[in-house]
Amino acid sequence: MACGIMVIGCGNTWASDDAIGIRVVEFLKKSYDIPSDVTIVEAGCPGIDLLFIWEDVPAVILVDAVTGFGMPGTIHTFDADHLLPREKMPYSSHSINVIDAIELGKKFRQLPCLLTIVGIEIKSEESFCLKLSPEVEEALPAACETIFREIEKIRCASSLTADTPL
Amino acid sequence: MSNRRIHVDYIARAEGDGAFDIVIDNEGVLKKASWQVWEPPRFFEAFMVGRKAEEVPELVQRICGICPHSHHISALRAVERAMDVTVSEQTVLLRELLHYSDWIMSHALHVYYLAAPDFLGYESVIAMTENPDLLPIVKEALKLKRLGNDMIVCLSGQEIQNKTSVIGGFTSLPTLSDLNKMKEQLKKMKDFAYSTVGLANQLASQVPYKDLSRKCEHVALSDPDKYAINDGRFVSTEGLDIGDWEYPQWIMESHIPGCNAKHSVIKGRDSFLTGPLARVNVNFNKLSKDAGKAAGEVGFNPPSFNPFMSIVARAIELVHAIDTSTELIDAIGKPVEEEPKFSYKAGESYAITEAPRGICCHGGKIDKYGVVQKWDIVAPTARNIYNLEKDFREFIPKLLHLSDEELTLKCEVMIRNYDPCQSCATHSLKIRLRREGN
Repeated sequence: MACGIMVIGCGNTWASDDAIGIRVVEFLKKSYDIPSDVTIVEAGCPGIDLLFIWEDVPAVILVDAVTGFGMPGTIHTFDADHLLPREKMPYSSHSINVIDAIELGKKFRQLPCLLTIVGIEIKSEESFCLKLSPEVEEALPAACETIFREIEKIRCASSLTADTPL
Repeated sequence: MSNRRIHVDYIARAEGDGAFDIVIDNEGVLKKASWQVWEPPRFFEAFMVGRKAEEVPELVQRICGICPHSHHISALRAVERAMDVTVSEQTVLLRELLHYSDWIMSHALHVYYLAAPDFLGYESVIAMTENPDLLPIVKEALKLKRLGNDMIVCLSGQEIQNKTSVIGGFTSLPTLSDLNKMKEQLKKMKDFAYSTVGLANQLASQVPYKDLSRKCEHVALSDPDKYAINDGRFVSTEGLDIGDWEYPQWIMESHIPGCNAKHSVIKGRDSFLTGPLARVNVNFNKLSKDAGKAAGEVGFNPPSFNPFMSIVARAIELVHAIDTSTELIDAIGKPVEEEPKFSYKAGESYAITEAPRGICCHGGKIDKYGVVQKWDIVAPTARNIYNLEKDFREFIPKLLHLSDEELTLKCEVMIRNYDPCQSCATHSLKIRLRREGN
């Protein structure tokens, strides 16, 4: 089994705020010292391939856009037992999105032991726009702080779970 | 009977923004069946102008996340043909293997995750997994898709846009050990792929429109020596037989009001079908031995003009892709390092490859400095749009007795059965149903 924590950023960098998951992990790499046990992945719009990306990884923090939960830039955290309705997260190629992939991962028993979703409320999905909306861009540092808090929670949880090597 | 209007505004598990509009008058006569693609043009053709020729195959991969290698290889062949670049036999074989990897990934996804829920009456593949008999099948299908993904990574360096294939050859090669491992994986998945043909035929047999058949021209690349994927003449079930570079003179495109995708017809003829069913019909006797055997066992009798048999054709091609990939690995042997070479030369040429969904056309004009002067790109879904409209005109009058909800679902099934990927143009297709007079 692979060891460590994987932070996966999702999004389409050509569709404005939809890119937020990618922009967060870019910001994370640029602005912080990444602990040696943390791997950062820019996954684009992975659809069902998420199941391959996190294969054998015990703990995953997935960062993506969400809509319909509040003001743009608001940060939400969810776990695999309390998922959003699928329409709250962006669709991927052929409409298998992150929620679908997680549901299938549950059915196939191919979920990480610990899975946290960090969702950032977005404002715009404008095609061919490379910029984030200002209020979404302002959320970048807070999103990174949320990720570090979740990393600490995972470490605490894993210390209580002897059979989950991290 | 009151007038009915079916406006298909959103359909899941299809790629691209667009709408389908159907109007039936109060005599029960179909007045209108049109597909309106809203997706704005992305101007990829214009982006190519002024670029160096070697950049084109790399850039056009960005058109699509599902069949990037089809766009890539079509552009490679068009540029190489225009500049008189010849490539080694090893490069030809590796490109075919790369493209078959894409077919395995795409066909497995479509048959099991996108089409099967329709034929079985489930809302989605997730709902299918509630059935304990289907769960292991869906899980195994993911392994088949993954095999395609893994082959692509091995050959091209990463999953979507490749990093190794360039004008004149490959900058990096898989090792013999990599290829042998790939061969083992192909062998492991063969039985499942074979069983897919029987399953697909069962699914197609269950649909109430199994007798729907509309004869139209089916087109595909064709080669006398093999099942054509990257090269061949452009051949049809109605006797067309031209060089693939001649397609701009034979396939005419026209703008339709309200639709951002053009309609295609063969010059002096009509709409046509491209994709797995057309390929199997045109090239049935070039399928691998086991693919032909699997087709025979389910009674597939070419040519089939029932569009719902596309799922069976995809399954047959899965077996063929696995068999042929294995043969290609044997033919490649231990890859030998070769330096990709080319020099600029003025020229104009065009090429077609067979993307998972059908013919993918690229070509244009390059000057003596290697600068692109014009570039043409047409993806398979765009080629099929007009034909799908014609299928609707045949199909809907036979289903007028259904409720709005059922009729809308049948329309969705038909659209998804074409596996439209307007990502080569789009994001999602929408469906709305309306009865006039109610």
